[in-house]
Amino acid sequence: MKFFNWLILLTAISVSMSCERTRIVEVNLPPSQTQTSVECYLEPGQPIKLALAETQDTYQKQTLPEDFYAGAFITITHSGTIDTLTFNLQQDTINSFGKIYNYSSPQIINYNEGEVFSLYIKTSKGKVITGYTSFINKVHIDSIYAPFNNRDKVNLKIDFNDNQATRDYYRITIAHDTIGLQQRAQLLFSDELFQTSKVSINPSNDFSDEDSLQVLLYHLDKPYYDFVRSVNDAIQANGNPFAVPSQIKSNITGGVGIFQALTYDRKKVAINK
Amino acid sequence: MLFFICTLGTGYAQVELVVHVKDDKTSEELVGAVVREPISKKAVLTDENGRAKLLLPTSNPVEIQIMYSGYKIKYVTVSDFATEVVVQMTSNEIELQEVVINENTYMSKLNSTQMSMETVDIQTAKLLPMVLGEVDVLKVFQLKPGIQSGNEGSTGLYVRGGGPEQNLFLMDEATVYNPYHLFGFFSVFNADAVSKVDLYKGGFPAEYGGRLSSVVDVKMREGDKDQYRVTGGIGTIATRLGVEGPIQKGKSSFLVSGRRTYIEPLTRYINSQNKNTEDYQQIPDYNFQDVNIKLNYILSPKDKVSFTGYYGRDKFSYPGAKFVLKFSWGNTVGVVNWQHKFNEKLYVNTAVSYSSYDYRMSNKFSGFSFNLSSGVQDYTVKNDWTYFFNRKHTLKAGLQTTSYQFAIGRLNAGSDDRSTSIATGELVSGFGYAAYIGDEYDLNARLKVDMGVRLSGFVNTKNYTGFEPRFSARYKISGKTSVKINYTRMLQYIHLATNSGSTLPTDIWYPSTARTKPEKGNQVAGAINISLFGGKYFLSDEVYYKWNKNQIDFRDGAQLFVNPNLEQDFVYGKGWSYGNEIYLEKKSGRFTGWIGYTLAWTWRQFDAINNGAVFHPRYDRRHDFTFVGMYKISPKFTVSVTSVYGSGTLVSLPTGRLYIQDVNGVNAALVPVYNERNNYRIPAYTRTDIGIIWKTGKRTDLAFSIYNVFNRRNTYLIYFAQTNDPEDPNNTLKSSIVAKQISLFPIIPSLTFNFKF
Repeated sequence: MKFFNWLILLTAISVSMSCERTRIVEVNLPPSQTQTSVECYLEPGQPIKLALAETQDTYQKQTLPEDFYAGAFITITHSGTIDTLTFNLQQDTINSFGKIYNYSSPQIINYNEGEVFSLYIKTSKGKVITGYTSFINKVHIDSIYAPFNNRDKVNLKIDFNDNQATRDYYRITIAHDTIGLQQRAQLLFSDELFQTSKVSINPSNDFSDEDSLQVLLYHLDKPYYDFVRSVNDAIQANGNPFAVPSQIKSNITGGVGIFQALTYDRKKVAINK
Repeated sequence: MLFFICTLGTGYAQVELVVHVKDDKTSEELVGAVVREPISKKAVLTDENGRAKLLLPTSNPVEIQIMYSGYKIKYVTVSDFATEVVVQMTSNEIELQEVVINENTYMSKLNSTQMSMETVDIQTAKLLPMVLGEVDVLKVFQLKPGIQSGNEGSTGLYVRGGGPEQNLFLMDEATVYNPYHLFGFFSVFNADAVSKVDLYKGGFPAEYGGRLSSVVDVKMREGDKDQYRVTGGIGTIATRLGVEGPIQKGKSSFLVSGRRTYIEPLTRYINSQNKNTEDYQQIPDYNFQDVNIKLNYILSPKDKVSFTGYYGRDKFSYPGAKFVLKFSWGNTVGVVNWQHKFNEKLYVNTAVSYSSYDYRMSNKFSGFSFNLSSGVQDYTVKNDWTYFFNRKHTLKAGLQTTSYQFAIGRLNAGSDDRSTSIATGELVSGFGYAAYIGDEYDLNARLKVDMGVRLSGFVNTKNYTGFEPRFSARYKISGKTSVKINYTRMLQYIHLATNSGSTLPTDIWYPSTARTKPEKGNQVAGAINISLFGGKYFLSDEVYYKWNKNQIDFRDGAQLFVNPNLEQDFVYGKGWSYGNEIYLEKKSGRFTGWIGYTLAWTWRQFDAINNGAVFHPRYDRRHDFTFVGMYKISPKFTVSVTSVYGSGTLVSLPTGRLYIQDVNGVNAALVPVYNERNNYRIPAYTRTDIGIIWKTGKRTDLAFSIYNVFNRRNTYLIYFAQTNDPEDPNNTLKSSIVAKQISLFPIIPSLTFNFKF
C-alpha cells in the first residue's frame, strides 16, 4: 500500500502545482503609431454627440490631454443639411452609463430609413477622417416571454421576424431599467444559421422577480456588425492562447472607430410572479 | 526503371543470406535489428518483417552477429545459405545491461540513402523522464533536431518550420487524424502497444505522400505467439493494462492494450469540498481512454494477415447548475493487412483501412440546447509491391486510393418547444488517389541512389493532379563517412483548419476545393554522416531549404468556431524555411544519449496578413538545443536527464489601446490594438527533466520522473491587465497597464509502477 500512498500524494502535488502561475513581466513592445479615434452614434430623438480622441501606447498612463482634443473641425452632412459639431466636453447621464463625449450639436436626429449621413473631421493636428452611415429598416420585437423556471429564475425569450431573403445582422442588449441601465446581457449574431423567419432568442442570463428590464433589438448593417465583432474579438484575444488576434474593423477612413446611425426597437419588461 | 534495365545482366559470385530476427519469447519480428558478418564487416538492418539480406563473399560457414536495442547480442553460425535463418533474440528485460556496439551500429545510417529520418525505439522512450508518468513517443521526437513542440507540454510536432497540420500520422498504414489526448498533452500512441516509430522530416520515400512536413509511421506490436502475458502500469494520472498471447501457438497471436485516466475522483472530491464556497468554479470532469487491438495470423509460409484496431475517446463534461456541457472527441482506426511472399524476391502488401476522427459538443441550458460536431472519415486501399533484384537493387511500386467524407461544423440548436431552430454545417466528399514507383540502386561501392516518383490526385468540386518527384543519393567518402543529398516534392490535398498557436480537438479537416488549392512543398537537403571513435559516436550535420506554395492561414479576427463559411476566412500565401541540424549520438557503454542543435529560420508571406509583408510564423525558433543522457548505474538502476533550450517563439501582442464606450457607455472598455501578426518574441524556453528507472523485481519496475526539475517559469502566455496606479495615494484608480506572464508547468514529480507477467 506504500506505493499507492506515494501515488496519491504525487497526484495531489501534480494537480495542485499544475495550476496557472502568473507574474508581472517586462515586455518591450514594438513602437505603435498613434491613430485618431472616433465614436459617434446617431440615435433617433437625440442630439449628435461625438467622442474624438487618440489611441495610446499600451503602457501609456490612462490620461487625457489638457485640451481634451479641442480644435477639431467636424461636420455631419445629411439631406443637404450641414451640422457643425462644436467642442463641448460633457458626461451623458441620461439614458447612459456616464458616457463622455467632447463634440456635439443640438441638432436632433430623426429616423428616416435610407437617409445618408456623411462625417468630415479635420483635427487640430491636420488629420482628416471621413465616414458615412445610414438608417436601415427597423426590425420589431414581436413579443417577450418571461417564464419562471424551477430555480425560480426567469430566462427571457425574445421573438422577432427575420427577412430570410436578405443577410441581416442583429444585436440584443438587456439592461436593468431601474439601476442606471446596468447591462445584463448582450448578443451579437447574424441570420446565417436561422432556418425560419420567426426567430426566438433565449439569452442564458437569469433574471429575478420584480426585475424591470429594457430590451433593445438593434438591426445592424455589415460594417457595424464587423466593428462590434472585431472589438469583442480584440478584447478576447488578450490572454487567450487559442484566439486569432483581431484588428479593429472601422467604418471610417483616416482613423479608427465607428460612425453609425442606430436602428433599434425597444421594449420594457417587468418581471412579476 | 533505368536501374532495373541496367541490372538485368548483372551477375554476382556472392552468396545471399536471409536472416529472420524474432523475439525468443513472443516470436515478434524485430524491426531494425543489426545483422553483421564480422569478417567482411558487412552489416544490414532488418526490414519491417524482421528480415535482412546479407550478401557474403563466400559460401563457407560464417558466424553472424545480431544486435538489437534492449536484447542480448546473439552469434549464429550459418552453413546452409539456401534456407532462411531464423534467429531468436533474448530480451534484457530482467537486468539492464550496457549495450556493446561497435562501428557497425551506425553502418546502416552511413549506407542508406535515407536521411532526415528519426527513429524512436520504445526501449529508449521508456528510459527517459516522463510527464505525469506517461511514456510518450511523440515527446521523444521533440528532443531530436529539427522537430519542435508547440505549447509547453504539448505533443504537437513542428517539423522544419511546418505546422502540426502538415504531419501525416500512420498507424500500421492507416491515417490517424488527431493523434492527441488531453488537448495535445499526450499522444494516442500507447507505448505498450507500439513496436517502432519512424519520423521522416525530409527525403520522403515515394510510398509516402499527402502532407508537406513530416510522416510519422507507427508500427504496432504483434503480440506473443507462444505464451500469454499481462503487461501494465499504474501511473500518476492513468493506468494501463495489456494482454497478449497465442491464438494458435506459433501461428497466430493477439494483443489488447488499454489506458484510462483516473483524475475525476480527485477533482470531484475537490469540488465537493468547495461546494459551499462562494464563487467557486467547479473543476470539470475529464478522462481519456483508448484501446489497441492487434491480431496476427500466419496463413502459410508465404501469407500473413493482421488486423490493427484502435479506439480512443476524450470526455469532458461540466455539469453546472445553469447549464450542462458535454464535449468528447476521438479516433477510430481499423486496418486489415495481408502480406504475401511470391518468392524470396517479390513481396506484396495489401492494406484496407478505415479511419475516422470526430468531436461532439452538446450544451443545454434553460430550455435551449445545441449540438455541434465535426469530423473526417476515410476508407483507404493500399497495394505495395517490393522486388529485390539483389542486395544492391530494390524496386518498390504501389497504388493508393482514399475515399473521404468531411463533416464540417454541423450545428443543430433550438429551443425545447421547437419554436427556434438553428442548423448549419456541410457534408463534403472527396476522393484521393496515388501511384508511385521507387528504385533504390547501389551504382558502385560509394554511390547509391534512390529515385522515385509519385502521381497523385484529388477529386472534389475541382479535380487536381500532381507530380511528386523524389530523389536521394549517398556517396561514401570512406568506411566511416558518407554524404547525402535529396530532393522531394509533397502535395497536401486535405487541410486542417487550425489556429497556428495550438492544436485543438475542434480543429477541422477541410478538403481542397476550387478556392482552396492543394498545398505544395519542395525540399532540398544535404547531410554528412560520420561514425566516430570506432563507432561509439555518430555525428550528423544536415542542411535543408524548403519552399511551400498555397499555404493556408486565417485572416485577422477569423471565426473558427461555428462558421458556416469557414473557407471565406482562409487566406493563402507562401512560406519558406531553412536551417542546419547537428546531431551527435552515443549508443554504446553505460552512458548513452545524444546532443542536438538546430539553427533555423521560417518565413511566411500572405497578402492578407501584415499588409503583405514577410513575417515569421509563431514557431519560428532560431536556436534549439537538446541534451539527452542515460546512465546505467547498475543492472537495476538507470538514470536519465533531458535538457532543452529553445529561442522564444512569436506571439501577437497589442502595441496600443483604444477607449471604446459603446452606445451608452455600459460596455466601455480599453480595446487592444493589434497592428501586426507575431510581433513579439517571448523569452527563451529552457527545461531539465530527470528520470530514474528502478528494476524492483524480475518483472516489475518503478519509474520516477521529475519534470522541470529547476522549476523554471517558462512563458506560456503574455497578456495585459490594468492595475492600480502606484502614484495614486488612495490606491483606487486602475490606470496602469502591466504585462503578465502565465507559466503552465512548474516542477512536477511523477511515479509509475510497471509490471509484466
